Amino acid sequence: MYSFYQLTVNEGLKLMKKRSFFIPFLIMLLASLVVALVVKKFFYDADFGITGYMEMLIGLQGGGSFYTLLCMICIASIVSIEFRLGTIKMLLIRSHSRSKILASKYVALLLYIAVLLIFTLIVGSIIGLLVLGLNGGLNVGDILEAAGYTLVYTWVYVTIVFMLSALTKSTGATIGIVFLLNFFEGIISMLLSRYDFAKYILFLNLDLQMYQEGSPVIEGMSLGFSIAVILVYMIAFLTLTFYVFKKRDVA
Amino acid sequence: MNLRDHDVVLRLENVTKKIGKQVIVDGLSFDVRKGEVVGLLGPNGAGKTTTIRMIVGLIGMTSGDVIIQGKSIRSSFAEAIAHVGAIVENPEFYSYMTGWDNLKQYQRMTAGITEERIKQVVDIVGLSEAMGKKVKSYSLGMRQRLGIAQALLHSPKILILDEPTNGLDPAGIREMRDYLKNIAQQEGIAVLVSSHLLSEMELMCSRVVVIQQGKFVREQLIGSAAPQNTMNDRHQLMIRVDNVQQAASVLSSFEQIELIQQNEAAKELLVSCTDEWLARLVQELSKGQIAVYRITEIKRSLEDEFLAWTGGNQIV
Repeated sequence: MYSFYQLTVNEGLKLMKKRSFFIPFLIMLLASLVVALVVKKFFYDADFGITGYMEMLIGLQGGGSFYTLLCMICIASIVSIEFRLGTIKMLLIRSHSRSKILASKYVALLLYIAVLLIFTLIVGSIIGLLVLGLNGGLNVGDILEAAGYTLVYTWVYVTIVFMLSALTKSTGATIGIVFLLNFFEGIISMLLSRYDFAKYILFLNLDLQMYQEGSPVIEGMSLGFSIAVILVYMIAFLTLTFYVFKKRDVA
Repeated sequence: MNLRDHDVVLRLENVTKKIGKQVIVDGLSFDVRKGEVVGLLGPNGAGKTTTIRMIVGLIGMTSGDVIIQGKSIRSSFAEAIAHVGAIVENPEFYSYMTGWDNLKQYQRMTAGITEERIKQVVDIVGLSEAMGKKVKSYSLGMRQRLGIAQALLHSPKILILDEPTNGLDPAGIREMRDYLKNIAQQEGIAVLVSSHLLSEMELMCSRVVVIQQGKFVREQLIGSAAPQNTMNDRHQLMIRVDNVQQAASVLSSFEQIELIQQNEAAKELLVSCTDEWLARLVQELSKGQIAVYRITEIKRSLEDEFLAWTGGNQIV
């Protein structure tokens, strides 16, 4: 267990030692400021208040999708960089199984998206309080719920990124493919939502917020159903990723 | 059974790699023992790098097995690889990190490596000054040394190096050679190096394993480890005399001495005989008042032999 922790520390350091590491944090900080100013100027009333601001900053309909994009970009190189630098050879000839090494990368990735989200929540709250004051009251439950939906959505996407990064060994291809997916996700959902089988498509289940608003895309979908679909896809993606990474000849 | 079997650190057993129908490495078997520097020699495309990648588990093998300290790389990878320090092709690092940070990465991957050990290894390869600099700014020679440092970090039983002198200048090559010899002798580590540079191998290794087109060609002890000549071996000798004609006629009276070549202009004779008959020949020559200016043994260089083994048509 200790050795796995050490591997994860290694992966964390590989992410952190890059000069670009702090850029996403900086961007989320700026986003908090901009959203705060926009809210203050246009929407500011007792109903909206600071809770509305936080939901706008972190919710999927607002800054949340932005947060997803940042995570995707930063994580895209997590496996492929080892191939690009050639360090994969150094990494795989240590006394650890390939699965363990890949798993440590996945854990580092999950920690990264969690840290960026928590950072945004904390910095967002502070800026919100400074710019807007405690108007309308801070509804922590609502904010965390919005953050939760964003986190699930982002988790699915970074897992896809992780898979592509390991399979394609190319950061560029990974970003390209996942951006395409992300871009066409809405259109695909819209076009296919008339068919019943579409409810088994991953992208139609990603936005769990729809159940809170009470309007699933297709009849017969429920929160539990969507969670199950997401889990099945994630397990399938990760199984494929680990299988290929384990079997692959590193030339 | 070999008496030195317990010293075997690395054993290849019929290692075979096929990609599609193409056979890259074909039933390769050899041993590497403690304290030895073994060269894996072959022309370009002979399968050296593929073999090394199979030994360290970077690529799978179609059949056969690699045994390191009694553990199979296929069935108990983690235990087997723990004894191996390696550089496969060029040493690669996280160029945006410092040399020290890079070594710390590998320290965390193996239990029980102290900071003192890192410093010690850095000292061995003479990189102490550069540890705080980013690897980006390192020269190829420095990277090569950092590569050796990471390979030695966990005190391996065997060091495996793929083309270790690639891209080094003559001073760097010499330095590398001295490290490897020292490491092998002082720490009793076995070393396996692959190369296509014969002269390099001749100076570095105590034994070479020659492969061609993925197949084992032969194994040869070289340098001081080569079998010492005995009285009964025939040697090729060049003898320079003042009168070639006379000398040749003296020679012809000895059945046991073979005259290979006679060069009037250079006043040289090329003969082949044993030590015993050479002594008699010299006696006879001086009896016949023939002046002997020089007697030189003609040794076949490793390069000549290598070309003979590999058919010569594929110059390395």
